[in-house]
Amino acid sequence: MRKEFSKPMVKSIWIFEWINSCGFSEVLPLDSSKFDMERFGIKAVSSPRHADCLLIGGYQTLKSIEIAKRIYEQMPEPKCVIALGSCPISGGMYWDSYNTVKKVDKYIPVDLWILGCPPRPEAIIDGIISLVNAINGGKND
Amino acid sequence: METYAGFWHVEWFLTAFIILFFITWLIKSLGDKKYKSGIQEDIFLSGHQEKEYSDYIGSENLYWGFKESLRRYYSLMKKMHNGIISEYIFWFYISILIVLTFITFGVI
Amino acid sequence: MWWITLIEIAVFPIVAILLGLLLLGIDRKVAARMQRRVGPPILQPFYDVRKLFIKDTVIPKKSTWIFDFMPLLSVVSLFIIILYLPFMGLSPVLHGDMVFILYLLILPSLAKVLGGISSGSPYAAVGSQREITNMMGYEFPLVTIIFFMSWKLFSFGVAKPFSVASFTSGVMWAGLGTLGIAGALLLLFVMLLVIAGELSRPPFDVSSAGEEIAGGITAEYSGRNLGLFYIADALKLIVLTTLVVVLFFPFGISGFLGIGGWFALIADSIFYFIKVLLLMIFSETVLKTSVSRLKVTQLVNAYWGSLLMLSLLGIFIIFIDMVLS
Repeated sequence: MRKEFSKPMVKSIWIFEWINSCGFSEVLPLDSSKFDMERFGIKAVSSPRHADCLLIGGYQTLKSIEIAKRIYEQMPEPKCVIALGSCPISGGMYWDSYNTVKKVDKYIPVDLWILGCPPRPEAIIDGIISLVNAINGGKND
Repeated sequence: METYAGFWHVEWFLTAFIILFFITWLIKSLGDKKYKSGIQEDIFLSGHQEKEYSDYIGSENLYWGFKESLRRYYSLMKKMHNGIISEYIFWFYISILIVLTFITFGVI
Repeated sequence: MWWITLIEIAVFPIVAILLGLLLLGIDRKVAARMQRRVGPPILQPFYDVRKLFIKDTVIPKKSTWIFDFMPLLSVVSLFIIILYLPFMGLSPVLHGDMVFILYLLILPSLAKVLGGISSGSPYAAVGSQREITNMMGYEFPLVTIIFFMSWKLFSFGVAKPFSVASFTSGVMWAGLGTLGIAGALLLLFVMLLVIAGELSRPPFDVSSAGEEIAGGITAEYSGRNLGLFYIADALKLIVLTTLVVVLFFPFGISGFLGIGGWFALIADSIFYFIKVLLLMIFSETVLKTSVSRLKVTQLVNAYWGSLLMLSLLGIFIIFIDMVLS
């Protein structure tokens, strides 16, 4: 039922960030002068209706995963989800807490995982470029 | 159609409006229409669910920013409107006097 | 001949869309270069619009038919204003006067405000309230400057002081000494800030403040409606800079170079494009990268206080200069 993330969409991706705590600290330089995000056409928007990509970062608690699910469903198709850091993958640093969601993939379908704790801006850009190349190459996963 | 200082052709305006409406509707139909019903149709409240409304905000609060920045002027005006009829007639008399002065002496 | 007018009515808006999106791209690139980074490619707004027209259009449950209709209305009203202004250095397609254009200029912002209110989201309602305050603010200096120039035409004895055709004779700089030129430059400065205010750019972009109110007026728009609002933004840029070109720099270049025929048209168009580009850079890009945002309670003080006083000062200086010479 999901629409395909086709080629013309790749040239301008608008992301909506849903980042808890420390994952954000390495996303901020992306928008600044040194690691410029805007030269790829990527813009950070503030409403999920405008967004293509949901960027989930930081560890998600049980309450915030409900909200993230609502936001994911309010985004128009076609959309993709990027999981940032090692906390959405397996709980990360907080793996033995009662409140953490260990695998975000059980609640929201994730398209791209970026490893690191938190990942450096170059790693984030590398991840996004690999996603773009995969879409341009015809694969849809 | 000529007014004192300008002119306007009504029929061209309406023709242009209809043609451009058609062109814009063509542009709009290039886009995609379908959407799912259900949760996607709720308004965005940072991911929370919508609750039932208890009361509605009146539309005069729409220009709050305007009223707030002119607050000193508004308080001055409120003090001047004190409800005494003879003061209102005084202001009326003065303004009629000024207008008649301008008219008789041709001052622009 | 009436069918030439019909063809022009159909063709000019398309050219205006392409030109507007190109100017937006140049604006983002120049702003990025001013911040020491490589910006997006110049054709980026075209990619953005194409992407927006691919996405789904989500319409919230509680909205009315106005929600769907307002993007259409704002684009159509901007198309019509373009027909009344001398676009690309050619004479205007339809003939009207300045007061009519001033009335029509309210429509695009009003359409956006109505769309925002009818979407039923509290974020959009707050954004609409701020945009209404913005609109009430910038009308005052704009109308002051335009009516002053009409008064100047009237004092020179021109028959129709409000029509656009008499503005294109370069009335602003006619018969001015050094003092008058200073006053005219002051009025140009005020006009540049009014352009930034009408387009909702920094420092007056309190209505689309992304970080504060989750997107502002267009918070509920998505897909092709948002694409139409994006196009309306680009068109408004063209309309306002063309208005300033009409008021201040309506000269063509083919008279200087002495060429005629088709080459004159091409040279005039390129000169118009350069004028619009320079105006946009000085009013929008420089401001966007250097100042921050005014609060909503400071907006009216900025327009009705500072900008109005500056424009009245400029008018006073020109008046003194005309009396002295």
